[in-house]
Amino acid sequence: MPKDLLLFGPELMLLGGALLVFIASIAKEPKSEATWGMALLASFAAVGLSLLTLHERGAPFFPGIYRVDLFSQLLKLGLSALLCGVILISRNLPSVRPSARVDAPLFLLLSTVGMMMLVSATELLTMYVSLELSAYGLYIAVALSSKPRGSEAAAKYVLFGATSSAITLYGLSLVYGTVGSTSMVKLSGALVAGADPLLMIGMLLMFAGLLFKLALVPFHYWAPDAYEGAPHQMVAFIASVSKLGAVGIVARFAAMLPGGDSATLFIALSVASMALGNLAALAQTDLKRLIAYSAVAHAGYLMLGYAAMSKTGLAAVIFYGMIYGASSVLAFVVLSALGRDGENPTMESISGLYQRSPLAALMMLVAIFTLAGIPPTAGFIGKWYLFAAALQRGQFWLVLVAAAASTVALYYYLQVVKAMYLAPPEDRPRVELTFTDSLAGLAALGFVIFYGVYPAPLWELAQKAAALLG
Amino acid sequence: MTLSHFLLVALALFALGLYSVLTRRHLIGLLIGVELMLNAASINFLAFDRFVVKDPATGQIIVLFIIGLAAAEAAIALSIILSAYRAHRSADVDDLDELKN
Amino acid sequence: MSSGTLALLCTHAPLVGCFGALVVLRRAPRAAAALNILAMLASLGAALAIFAGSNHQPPTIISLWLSSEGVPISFGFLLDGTNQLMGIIVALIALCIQVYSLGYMKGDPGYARYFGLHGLFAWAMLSFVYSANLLQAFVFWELVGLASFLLIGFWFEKPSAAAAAKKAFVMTRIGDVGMFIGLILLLSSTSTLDIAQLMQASTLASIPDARLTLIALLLFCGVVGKSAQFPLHTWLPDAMEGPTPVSALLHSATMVAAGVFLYARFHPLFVAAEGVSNIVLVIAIITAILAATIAMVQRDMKRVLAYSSISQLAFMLLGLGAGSLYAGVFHLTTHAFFKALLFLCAGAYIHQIGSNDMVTMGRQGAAKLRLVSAGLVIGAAALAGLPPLAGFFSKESILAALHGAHANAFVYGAYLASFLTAYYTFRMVFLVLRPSDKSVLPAEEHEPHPHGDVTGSMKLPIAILTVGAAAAGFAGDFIAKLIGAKALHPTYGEMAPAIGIALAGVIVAFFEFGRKDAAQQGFITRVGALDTLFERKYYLDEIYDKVAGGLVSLIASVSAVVERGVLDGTGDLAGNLTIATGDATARMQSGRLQLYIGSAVLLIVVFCYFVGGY
Repeated sequence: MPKDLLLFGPELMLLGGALLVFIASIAKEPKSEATWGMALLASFAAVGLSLLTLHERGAPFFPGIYRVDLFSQLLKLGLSALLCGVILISRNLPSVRPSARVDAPLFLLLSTVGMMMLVSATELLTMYVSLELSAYGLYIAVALSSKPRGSEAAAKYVLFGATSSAITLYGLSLVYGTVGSTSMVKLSGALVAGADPLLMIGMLLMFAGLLFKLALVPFHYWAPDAYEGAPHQMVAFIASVSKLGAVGIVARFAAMLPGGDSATLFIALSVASMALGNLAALAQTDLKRLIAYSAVAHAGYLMLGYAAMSKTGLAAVIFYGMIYGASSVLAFVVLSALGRDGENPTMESISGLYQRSPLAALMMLVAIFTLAGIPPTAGFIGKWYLFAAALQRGQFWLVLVAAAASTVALYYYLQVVKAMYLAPPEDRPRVELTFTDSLAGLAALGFVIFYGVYPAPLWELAQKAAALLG
Repeated sequence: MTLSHFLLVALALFALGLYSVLTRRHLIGLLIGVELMLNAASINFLAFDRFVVKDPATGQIIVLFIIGLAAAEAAIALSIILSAYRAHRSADVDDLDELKN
Repeated sequence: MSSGTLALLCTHAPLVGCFGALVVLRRAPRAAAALNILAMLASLGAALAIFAGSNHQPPTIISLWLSSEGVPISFGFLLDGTNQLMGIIVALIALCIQVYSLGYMKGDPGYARYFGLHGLFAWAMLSFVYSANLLQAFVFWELVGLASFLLIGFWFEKPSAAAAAKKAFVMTRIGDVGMFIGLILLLSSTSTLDIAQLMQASTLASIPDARLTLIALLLFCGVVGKSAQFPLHTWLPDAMEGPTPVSALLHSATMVAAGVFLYARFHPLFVAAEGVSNIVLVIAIITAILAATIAMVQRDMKRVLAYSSISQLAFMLLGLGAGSLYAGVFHLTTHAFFKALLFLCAGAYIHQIGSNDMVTMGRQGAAKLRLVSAGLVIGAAALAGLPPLAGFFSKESILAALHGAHANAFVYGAYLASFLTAYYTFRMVFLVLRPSDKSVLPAEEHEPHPHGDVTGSMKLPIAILTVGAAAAGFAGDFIAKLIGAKALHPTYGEMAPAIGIALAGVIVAFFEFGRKDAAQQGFITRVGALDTLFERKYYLDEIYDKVAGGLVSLIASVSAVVERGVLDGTGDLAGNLTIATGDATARMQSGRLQLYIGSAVLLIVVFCYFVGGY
């Protein structure tokens, strides 16, 4: 039993933290500092426990339903570390309505618990419940915005999300009917055995909900609106933690698929996402919206790895998911510092950042370089692995499209660099990074540079994790 | 009554739900549509349980979970719709068009 | 010290300098400069030591860096002759130019930053040169581009400098994307990116012919971008917005030569790839003539030299494309000396007189700077290919290579380009050194703003490079031995026409610009149309702009969606077109929730049809 508790430790820590935050938030005069501190401690503890259990294996409490292995623990480590980063920059939440500032960490913690369960789930009902749990926190997080457009974004997000989750559930029911069980092992066996059309349609409908989380075309519509409308730190959460969770669960399902038609579908979605995301990003001046479209494009890059239908492809996806999460946190350290007045940072407001805060400008520069895939950042290595995995399957044209798309992306990324470094600051105020901001930023920056120069350790972990799938 | 009867009813219910999600003007109308879709899935689960699957407890448990999740989802969606109504003085889906491009 | 340690020292000493200048010594600019010069000295020493000890050391030092699908990718140094030669050139010229910058950049508020960026460049460039692995080389290749971006935009207060920096980065990236795909394709065909291994005949023979050609063409894209060849050449003249020593180091002697160096590095591959060398020759000859004709009518000294660099890089590619590794690398070496020299001379005039305009320089008494003027004349003679200076020998060997390849059309093209080179070079010399009272050239509107006197630290590098430009031509056999290629010794019969042509160019320039009371009017001005064509650089910038603009307005009227121009007018076709498409794409996000859900559902239905097979 104690062993089981340890294996379930990261989730328990965050659940415990959420409980404490909840109790603290219903106190007579709740203090946002207090809930923030609790959340920070809980997420630190979760990082520690994930590290501790990284190489453990087991099935705590519910055999056959919940699995702990290197794959799940690596992703949990990533999730909790990214959560740490987001909470570090959430000490002040200027774009959250004042009455809700106390509660904000609660939703982040609960949603992360959902993500963690999602990457460990090996049974469809558990998977669905975790998916919902992680989504509810996000819906509310978006709605916490102090601006009217925040509730508009949240309304669109929740209704789009609920619809796609209903479609997922309907797909699940078809899968259940054809396989006769909710176990993923049995599902995997049925998929190998042969293509029952009803089963394939069920799988497809189920994927709708997962791809919605990944913000892949055509399930991306929520992303630009939610990114623009939601409070800065909540967007940081969606862009990092939530993305990584989605990467994990899609990897688990992609490993079960037999290839063929599904690979073709993945390729189609990948091309559409890369093209649409990068092109639409060109027209943006609101930086959060720009990052949203860039996230859509990145979902397309990730799809390259899934479409390769190989262990290398999945390893590349896990690797890139981690890197992408870190670079999102890095970017939002700067964006939320820029948006201290509660307004969204724009091309205008980032102008001359180099003279207003060299450190912030450097962080943003590195974040942009890794998003654009320019060496020596880890983004370059990550793209390299994704492209190599696709090429290994002979998908030369797909890689060509991806390379072209990343060239287009260079335009808008450089636009931001140009504004930061070459535009005059005029009378815009200095940008102050608090101690916790700098801490989160420097950690993410170090991560991105270190694994850009020496990716071997993380890559080996990702490869081992991917080998456990399917 | 065979399996296909149940499945057809569920499919019809699902289609109706989707139709109202796509055509209703009022945000709560959309939410009701989603609830219909969830219920269609529930009927599927129970029908499969009755005719196909060996272990009937699973489907029933799933449906209980769905009911719980649907309630939670409705609570969240309703509160967000309420806040959108406060902000825009309207709960018409077409009035939510500030965020675009 | 083992050669591995030396290589590590050689490549990474400048990084220490960079870090020191940008982080530690920001408030102590003199110390930052001294640190970087010391670091460069160490690099040069190490490069020479590697060369001296190369006979009894293994040529490659490698350790595992990362592995991709079972293919180990190593990190290491390849220390063969070609790399040793290039390493020494880069370190030597970088050192000269840093010393020169001590005087040139004096008093600039960004003094420490300037030297730090130089360190960054030297680190990236040397690491690129010594890379044992193509992926490693690519990483540093991109970093070199980054250093170039930062140095061109060094005076970022000037909008033109900022725009030029971005243009350079984007233009070269276009080529780099091609190169990156080529690199991945090479990996997937051979399962290795180890340069030494790739260049073995057995490895190359294992790649199917069509694919080898494709790979070679993709790698050549990178060369075209980096070495500013037609049609991606327009960034280089704009890059002259950076400080002049930067132009001397990056945009003539070393960085732009990285493209040619890459080609030389992969010479066996390009030779083995069928049909590619013809494409290379065509691109090179177009570039050589095009750039030389534009240089004929420029008044800005740095722009003349920039176009001259483009043209000379094309010459190197002509030699390589004709199949002679020796000719290309030899010209690369001599060009590094004399072009760096010419830029440093230009910088000295600009520093003393305060104008880039050659006519103004002449009228303000540029000839009074004796040492600089002597350097200018020797550098110009070397560039024009007059015997016995450096450029003569290397250019002769390129012509001999073209002869040997029986590429007659290209030989005549090269003769034409040589004539133009001699002409525009001496036009420059005479304009600067022999101002004429009867000149028809109008004075510049702006009064020049001198920056200060030419200091001793600026004169020393000029003197060293003058010696190099005069003597490097005699190193031909030595270079041939070092890189393991056959030296070409042209016969007198082959040399005679080239000497005659170069002299003809000088003489025409003398009559028009140099003799007493010359009208200083080029023969080309009598053909108004050509004159304008050259002066407007074949309208290429405008064409890129106009085509883009036309397409954009077409799209705009069709879809009425273009309202926000996000990019500034850096002017190129792909840019504006993409932006317009981007706007249209963003419009798909209509703001209507039900349209979102509807289109998602529609796609699901289509997919269901697809997978269900109904």
